[in-house]
Amino acid sequence: MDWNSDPELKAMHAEFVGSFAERRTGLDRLSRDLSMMPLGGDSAEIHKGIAFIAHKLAGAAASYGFPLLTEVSAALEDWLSLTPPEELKTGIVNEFTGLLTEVLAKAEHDQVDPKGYEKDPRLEKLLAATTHLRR
Amino acid sequence: MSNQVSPQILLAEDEEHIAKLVAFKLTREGYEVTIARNGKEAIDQLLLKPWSLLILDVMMPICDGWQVLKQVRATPAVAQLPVLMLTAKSFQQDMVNAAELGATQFLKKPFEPANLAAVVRKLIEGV
Repeated sequence: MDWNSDPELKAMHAEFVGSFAERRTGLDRLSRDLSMMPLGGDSAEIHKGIAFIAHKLAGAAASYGFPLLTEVSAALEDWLSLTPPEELKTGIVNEFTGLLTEVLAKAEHDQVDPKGYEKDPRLEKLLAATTHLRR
Repeated sequence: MSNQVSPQILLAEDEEHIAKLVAFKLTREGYEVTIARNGKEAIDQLLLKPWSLLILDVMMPICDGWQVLKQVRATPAVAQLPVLMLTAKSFQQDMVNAAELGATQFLKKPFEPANLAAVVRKLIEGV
């Protein structure tokens, strides 16, 4: 779709890209909450929060011309569906949410779907852990 | 002068950006689109207009797409309304649920807007 073909389309695309900062902030906050456990935070709420952000992004991003964003967020959502809240570990969660926030930041900056993540080890790890869900 | 009324579509979708994109595309195709932000709003709208199609997201707050679909099929005035389900995760299970509960068709998210428009045209106009 040519997002510049219509002023309304262009504005909608810009608005969608404009939503990336808030999604990144949400992911960062949830990752931070997880790292503060058990002093603060609820792993079930953190799990639900990250899954919600990933789910919404997965369902929308490719429709707006960001297929990599959909791929990364869908893989994160799949991984969360296999990982009970009580098994969330800060290191691995940060690795995966870090990938998504990085891709979001690049997409926001470049205004297009980022390139060069096909062989990213974090994405490969995510996809390998969830490949059976896509068969 | 033509008195033709545009087909009315009720779109139940809580993700703002998808709702806007779908409404934009379908309005350009000649349909009139009303957006419901959650399942309860969709149910409240059901008897307010002569809908040609209900487009229903599965995951919505307050009342999800499955509950809305059940309500539609249980309400005589709208029981035959074509329903297009927008499914995302657990696609296989969503397909089973959609068939069991009487969805007319389902479309996996994310979708190409042009593809959605083609599916809608077929459901409403049969072409």
